[in-house]
Amino acid sequence: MKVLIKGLSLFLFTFLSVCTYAQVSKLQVNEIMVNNKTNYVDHYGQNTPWIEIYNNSAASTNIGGCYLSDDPKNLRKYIITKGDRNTLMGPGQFLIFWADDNHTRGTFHVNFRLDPTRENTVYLADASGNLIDKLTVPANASALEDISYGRIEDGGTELGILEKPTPNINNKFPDQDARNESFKKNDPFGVGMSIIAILVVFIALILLYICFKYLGRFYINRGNKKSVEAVEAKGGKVDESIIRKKDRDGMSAEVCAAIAAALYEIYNDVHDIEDTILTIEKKAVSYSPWSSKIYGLRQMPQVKSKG
Amino acid sequence: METFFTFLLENLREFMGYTSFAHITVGHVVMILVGLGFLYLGIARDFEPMLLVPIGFGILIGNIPFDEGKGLMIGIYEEGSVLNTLYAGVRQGWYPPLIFLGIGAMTDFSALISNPKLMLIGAAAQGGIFGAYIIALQMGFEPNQAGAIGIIGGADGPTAIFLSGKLAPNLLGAIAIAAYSYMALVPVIQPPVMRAFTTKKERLIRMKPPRAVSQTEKIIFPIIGLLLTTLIVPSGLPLLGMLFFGNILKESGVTRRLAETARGPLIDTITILLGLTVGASTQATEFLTLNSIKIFGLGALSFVIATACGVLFVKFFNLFLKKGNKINPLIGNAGVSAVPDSARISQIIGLEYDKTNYLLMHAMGPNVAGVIGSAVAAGILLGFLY
Repeated sequence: MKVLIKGLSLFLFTFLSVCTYAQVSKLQVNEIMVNNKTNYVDHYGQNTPWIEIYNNSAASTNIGGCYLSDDPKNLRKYIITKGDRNTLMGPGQFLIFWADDNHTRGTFHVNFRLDPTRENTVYLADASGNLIDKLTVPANASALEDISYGRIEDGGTELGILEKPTPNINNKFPDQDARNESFKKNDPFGVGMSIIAILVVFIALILLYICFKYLGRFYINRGNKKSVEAVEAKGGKVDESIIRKKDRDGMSAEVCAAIAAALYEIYNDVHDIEDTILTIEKKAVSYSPWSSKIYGLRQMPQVKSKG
Repeated sequence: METFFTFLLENLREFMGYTSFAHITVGHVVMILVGLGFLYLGIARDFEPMLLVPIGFGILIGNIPFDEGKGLMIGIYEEGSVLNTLYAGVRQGWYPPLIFLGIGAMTDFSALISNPKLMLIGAAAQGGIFGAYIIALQMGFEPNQAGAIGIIGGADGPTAIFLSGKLAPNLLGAIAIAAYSYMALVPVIQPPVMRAFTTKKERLIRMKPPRAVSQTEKIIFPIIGLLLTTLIVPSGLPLLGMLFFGNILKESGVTRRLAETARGPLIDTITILLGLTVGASTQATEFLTLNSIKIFGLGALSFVIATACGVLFVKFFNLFLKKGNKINPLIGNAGVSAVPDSARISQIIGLEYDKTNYLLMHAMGPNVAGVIGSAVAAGILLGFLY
């Protein structure tokens, strides 16, 4: 049974790790231009259709070994060269592939050409040939000259015609100061944000409070139950209300000391019958286990006397 | 012979151009004096020496002027220099979580677990952060800058560095110096506020002794603490994750060596590097600005607001508590996360009014809750403003 549990745990761990990794490596077909007349020019000075791939994750990923295709029956049509250092994509980075059916021109020129006269779909598959992402450019968008089609926002689900093509850069430029401007406009005094934030802090700590309030009660009750069981196992009787009262009110130091002394005697078989009297005197000095903690702390800053 | 002397003189002149005297400005002198002041406070007056000595010396290091045009690669802001490499931990925010790992490994949450309602004081004291945020906005700071400045009120140096590194990197030096300076000045700032907002009768309240906490509860605390807080505020993960991880290393009882390393050599090493580089980041050219002065003013104010919020919240909370369960409002100040200094202040002020009323362990509850609260608050600010 233990072996089975261990095996299952290991499987679960591995499965979760793989799932996590799979989520990290998120590549997407982000933007496509089919009818490139005067737009983006490749290294050979030619205007050919292009496909933009986007790394929509916070981790670097190497696209080398993955496949690009325009044929759903053959997802492994073009293998992206392994070992090309330029295929390493940083977080949020873009890569452009030229769909010019001229793969001898390098890693980024694929062996198929997109056709402006019909609908075009580009498939991106992983090294095992499993589909990662695809993007279909409708026939009307394919025909548009120097207009691209893709995700309105990088990595988003909303697709559309992009009047201003943005190869190798964001489809929608993030406004760096949008958040600040929005706060300045909608919450100029900062009161709204402050109230929400302090409420969230309270909620987080109230949840912790509730959790540990009941957890504490559970452990106190369990401790009491164990005490009762231990006494009853030896044939004794316990008034549970005393225990509850003890927990509610705390116990005096004298009672604690007397119990401790009695337990010490029982477990060490000191005497059957004591012939001395145990006198507990309260210390006159103001000392308690709590006060002793102060000695472990750095003292208050003091002016050092000269000499 | 004349050529020889001319050659020597030219080289001497060139050498003089290399020395700091050729580049020193009034700003550098002022900052060197500030650094000496920090060293004096730390060494002669014993004000938080672990913080002020590295920071003070760092200020001296950072304000030795030199010709930046020569490409000597010695300045903290010069890419690839030794100081710049060490400063990466501040800039990229990985020193603060490591400090939190050590704090977690040295913190005993028993006081909090035994009396969990004290957690709410840790939440209330975060009012200082948001009070300072509101005032900073009115003083003309951008919302992201105001958030970074406000976090000074959390009285948590690593959190302040972490957040300002993300929200307002250009203000990081001033914010870090302000946060650490005021943490050192907790014994000066908090007592008058505590006295002002409490009556003599309230200061004499005796609190019920905390119950003993089982090891299982101590082990469960970091797990539940992590899940509850970070599921609500995932942006606080670097700080809260490391804090609770350090704590489970301590409480599990099976990773003693790891816990000892985290709360000993590791946190000491990071404290040295953090203090020194934060100090060195205060180059006069970058640091001596009107904004820095404003940040110092706001920092002091945020500490005052945080202390007042904590104390007033306890008074309010007491209205709903039965007699015998009341909380001494003198532990309200400990809701800020300056551990254990603010708890120590509660103890000292409490003893001033009753020589047998020991508040230290009670104050440790809100104090460690303050650490959690300020990390959560930082996560919220990051989520809202980043």
